[in-house]
Amino acid sequence: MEDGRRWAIETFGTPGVYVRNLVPQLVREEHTASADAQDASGHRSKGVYGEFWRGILEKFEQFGKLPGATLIRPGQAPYSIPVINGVALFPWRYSRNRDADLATTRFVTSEARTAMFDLSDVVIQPELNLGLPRPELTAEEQELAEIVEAAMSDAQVTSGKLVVVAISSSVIGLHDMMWGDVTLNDDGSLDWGFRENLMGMKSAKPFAVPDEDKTFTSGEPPAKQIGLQDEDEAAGDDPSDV
Amino acid sequence: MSDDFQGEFELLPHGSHRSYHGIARAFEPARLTQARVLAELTKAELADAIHVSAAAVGQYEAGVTAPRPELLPVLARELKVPVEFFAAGRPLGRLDAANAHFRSLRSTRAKDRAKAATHAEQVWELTHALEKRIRLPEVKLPELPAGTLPADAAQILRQAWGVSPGPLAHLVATIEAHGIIVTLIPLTNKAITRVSAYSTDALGRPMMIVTPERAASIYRYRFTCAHELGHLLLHPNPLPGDRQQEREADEFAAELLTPRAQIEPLLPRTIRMAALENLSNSWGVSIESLIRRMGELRVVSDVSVRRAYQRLHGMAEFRRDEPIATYRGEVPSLLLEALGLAEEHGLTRGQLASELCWSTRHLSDVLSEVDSRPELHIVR
Repeated sequence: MEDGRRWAIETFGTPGVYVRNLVPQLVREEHTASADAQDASGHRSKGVYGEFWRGILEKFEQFGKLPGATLIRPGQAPYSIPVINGVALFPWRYSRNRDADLATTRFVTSEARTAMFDLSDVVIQPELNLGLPRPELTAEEQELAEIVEAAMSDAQVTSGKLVVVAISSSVIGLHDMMWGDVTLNDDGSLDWGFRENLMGMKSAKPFAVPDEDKTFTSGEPPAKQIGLQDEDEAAGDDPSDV
Repeated sequence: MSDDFQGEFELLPHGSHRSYHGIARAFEPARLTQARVLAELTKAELADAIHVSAAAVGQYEAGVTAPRPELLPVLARELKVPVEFFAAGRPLGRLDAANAHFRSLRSTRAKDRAKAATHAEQVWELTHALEKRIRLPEVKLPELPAGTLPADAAQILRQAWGVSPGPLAHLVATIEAHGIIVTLIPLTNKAITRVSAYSTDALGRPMMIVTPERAASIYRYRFTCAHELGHLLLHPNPLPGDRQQEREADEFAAELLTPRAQIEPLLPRTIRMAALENLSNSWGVSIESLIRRMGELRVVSDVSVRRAYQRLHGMAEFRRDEPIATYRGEVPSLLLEALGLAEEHGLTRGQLASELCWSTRHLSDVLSEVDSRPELHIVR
């Protein structure tokens, strides 16, 4: 079983894989919508795209409708975040800079961010298990999900666990996206437990071009492989064929 | 008959009413639409010119009725095509403008897009006619997994096409060597000039068509070709004018021409025009594109990027565009090479034009050949 899928099931239970599939899709959709809005505004200032954080929080609210999930308002936050089987999920646009260092970026910038780590008084409605199969799960994953959910149902309060979806993006592009479970360091930065890149292929590391003298006009243009059609093929097409 | 056609079409001399009857019986409505769109006439304008009602032209194009035989030469004259052009029986590629990627959709009219699509249909017909005789390179575009990011797609393509690290040399020749048709539209085609550039694979073999406006500067032209290549690879379902698809194609082009991992160590840490000009000359991309890349890669701040653009605009009158004609590997040549090979084996341009029911001049236009004859202007 793939590490990312296993972690998602162990963290969120049965809907884990569904959440894992949907998170990057929602982030991409929100990035596109925000970039379109910025384009349409014609503003030099990038403030329109800057509202990305609000849009992605709204999109994540749909996770609150999953069985065993709810929406909570951390502290006095002007927004809600989903708590799925006792685990809170928060999208965090930590940078507009492709090369920003996630490890040293301060997460706690408001009382609401601190409150996300203490959801001990949130009561979760237990899921009515109808035994319905989840099409996205393999038999092995389904079995694991059942074990995880049995353990979860013993404690019908939140685990206090927070999963952060860390996003680096700007109007130019979606630079980075990863998720994982976090704890808070004393300096307000995050300490990551499991962490998974949700961007697909990783960018190559910078390297020096071996032939510095090569230019876009160097060498001969590539030859084009053309030739006469085989007579058999051409015969049926046109009597005037060459 | 206009000057364009004098002496070129002799299959059906004047007065050949029996033949006109035959063509009227085998009338292909789509050919009338094609010729009318290429002539940039509305149905009403054409109807006015040939003294019939607009509804009648609509009926001819819908195939409800066929024009009378004696109307065919009149139609042919107005639309600058030979009468045989209207006959059915030749392969006809039909391309809906919705199935092509248009570079500047927001600034183009539906009429211009329709003309561009019709031009693409004719490029397809020419390609088809040549392919009956000549084997063109096999189309080699890698299959991408769903959701592949544009920058990753560019890396995959460089790898699949065996592009060595560094500047991508002879971009258009490389594209053609992998089976994609590239054509330039002649300067006289003003309607399509407004379209800027477009690409499609809806007719089978993928093709991209670039206008002279884009070909005026070698760097802009290369970026445009890379952008269209991005569409062909990333967007099997075109959403013409969709901002996201356009952004993705730009991102693809930037990574294809200046891969991040390779260009980043070479970019100056501050905006130094001389250093950027050197890079521009080596990598075949504009200074604007490199500045944008510096912004994307966060080498410099947004403010520095804005100031650099302002400086560039201020220097615009001192910079000269390099036309593509001097760059061998950037001038499309696949169709011309195919025709050359066919000519070596006995085909003449006249035969090919006749088969397509075009004038030889029109054949040259679709082949993107420059008309070297001097242009006569009458000054009153």
